[in-house]
Amino acid sequence: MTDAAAGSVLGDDCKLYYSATLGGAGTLTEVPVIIDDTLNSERRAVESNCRGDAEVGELIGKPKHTITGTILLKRDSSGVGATFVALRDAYTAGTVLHFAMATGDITYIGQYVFRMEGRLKRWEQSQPDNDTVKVSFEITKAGDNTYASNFSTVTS
Amino acid sequence: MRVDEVKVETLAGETVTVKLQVVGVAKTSQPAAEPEPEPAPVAEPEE
Repeated sequence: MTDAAAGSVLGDDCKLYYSATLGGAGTLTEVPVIIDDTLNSERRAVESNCRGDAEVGELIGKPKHTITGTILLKRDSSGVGATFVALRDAYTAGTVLHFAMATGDITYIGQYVFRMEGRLKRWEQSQPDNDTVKVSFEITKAGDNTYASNFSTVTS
Repeated sequence: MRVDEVKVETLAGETVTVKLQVVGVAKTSQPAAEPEPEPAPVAEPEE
């Protein structure tokens, strides 16, 4: 395998993959023509009075992950339409999917990857005249799924 | 260090296997273990 090219790791080369097979055992399929895919992660926190002190502290809990992004769709035969239909049907059915976000083509050594399993929680499909269909979506971790979200690096 | 093998189908239709070195996971989530059955109550001896 080829090393990923040095340079920026963020930008329009970043990719999102999905698989209907859970647990990381399935073959990942690239979601074509996707922009602004974002990992949103924040740890739960609660404030508390610090014992014996005149200030308030913050207790930090476990992180909560979601993935957001936008699919640009035009009816064609290059796989964009098929992926659109597959993800739309998963949204409709509430199906849990395996997702992988990569800082570039995942088949290149050195790419950084985030994986989680979840459901499409939001599906906003805008269809402006004379333009591309834009689908803004949000994926949240499925509470009834035991796959531990993780960060990784492609080594070979 | 945990290493996962993942298959990827490229847009060209080719299937490639890549290795991912996983970081930042304290443990892999597992379904909750079945609770152990409570011991049968012991009958008190009659006086």
